[in-house]
Amino acid sequence: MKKNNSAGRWCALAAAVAFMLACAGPRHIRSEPVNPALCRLPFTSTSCRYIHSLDAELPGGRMTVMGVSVIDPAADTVQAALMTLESLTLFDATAAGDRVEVHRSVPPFDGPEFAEALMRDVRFIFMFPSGPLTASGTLDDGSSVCRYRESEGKTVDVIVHPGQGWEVEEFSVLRKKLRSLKISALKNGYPGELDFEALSPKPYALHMKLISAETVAPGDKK
Amino acid sequence: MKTAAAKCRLLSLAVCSLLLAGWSGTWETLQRESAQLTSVKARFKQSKNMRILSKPLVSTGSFYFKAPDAVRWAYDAPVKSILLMHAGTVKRYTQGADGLSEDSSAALQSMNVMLEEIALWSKGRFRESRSFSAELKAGDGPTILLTPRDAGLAKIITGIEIALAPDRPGVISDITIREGEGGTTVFHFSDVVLNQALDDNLFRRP
Repeated sequence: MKKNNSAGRWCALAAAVAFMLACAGPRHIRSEPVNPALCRLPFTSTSCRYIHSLDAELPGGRMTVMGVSVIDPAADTVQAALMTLESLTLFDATAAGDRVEVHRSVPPFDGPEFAEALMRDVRFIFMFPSGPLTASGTLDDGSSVCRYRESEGKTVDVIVHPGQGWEVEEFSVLRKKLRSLKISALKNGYPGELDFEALSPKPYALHMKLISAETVAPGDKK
Repeated sequence: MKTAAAKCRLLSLAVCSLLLAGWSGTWETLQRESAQLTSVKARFKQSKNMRILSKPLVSTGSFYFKAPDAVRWAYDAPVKSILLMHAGTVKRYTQGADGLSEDSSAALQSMNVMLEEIALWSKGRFRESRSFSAELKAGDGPTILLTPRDAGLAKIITGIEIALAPDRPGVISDITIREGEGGTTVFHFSDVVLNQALDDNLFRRP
């Protein structure tokens, strides 16, 4: 019984620490000149098609699927499809602005909120923040950071770790961390690996490994 | 997740099992020839076409079957993955940052249910399948057409076509899976070797 109580206290402590970290809010920025182009570098400015393997850590277990994403920043559209390794299409949708059109969804990827949430995450992963730059400078560890104000009072920080990739963190208006992304150093102009984590409302994590990337010519968007 | 995984595995098993079918002019001879099959070893090339892709997404790998129900379905590229079925247990391993790791999805358990289907198909008894109705079209390049019996499954797979090699009885050349909305996957099999002795460990360890 004593052991159980002790274990319980440790769990409560761990949960409290995790909660505090999640609520720690955006990092302190020391105001210094930063080249915003460095923050923009891992994000495409032209229309691109990416194919990734996605290693998903979900509450129900781990699974690996393949994902296809077509990102068009100029048109503000995102297309995304998920398929099993055996090529069975699980999900296929297009988002233009706030409007999401689902072409195919297989249970349990057919829930009413799944499509909108997934397309928001795809946009977060591949698209540069659309809001205004509100601050820039360096963090305590010397990394450069660009801070953007997004809709609904959200804050997005793009942190540059020279030669080692980027980090993107999104916080709510209440300073709660919502999503984070680690972007590896570029290889042939594209990030080879991405680590995405959604913390709220439903936590899940994705490790994405690039299979192929190509620019999409106008008129080639299907 | 469980439903999608189960249906994915149904598709996987369909592909696995269809490779076991042999050429025949009639269902009866197909069943008779399939019953004599003890093992299959083949390479496969999987080509996925869908609206969002500008060109087919190609995967390659190898397939092994040992009667009565052992399967090894291994992808080499673009994602290394191995699906093993042996003595009623099913395991999947996928290449991650730390090497091959086992898929912890509880949905893998549903594979056991599908072994019954495999047993039927591997014996060429397609018409007894509870998931697909089967039609045999004879000709120089004979074809088996499978149609989902269940409306729920039909929303995911609208049909499967199996092309048998016209010049080599017992060998499947291509399988086409149609998903609707223009999505198709074609499996092309090559280097097929039948009835070769295969070590059980091939189906137990990744």
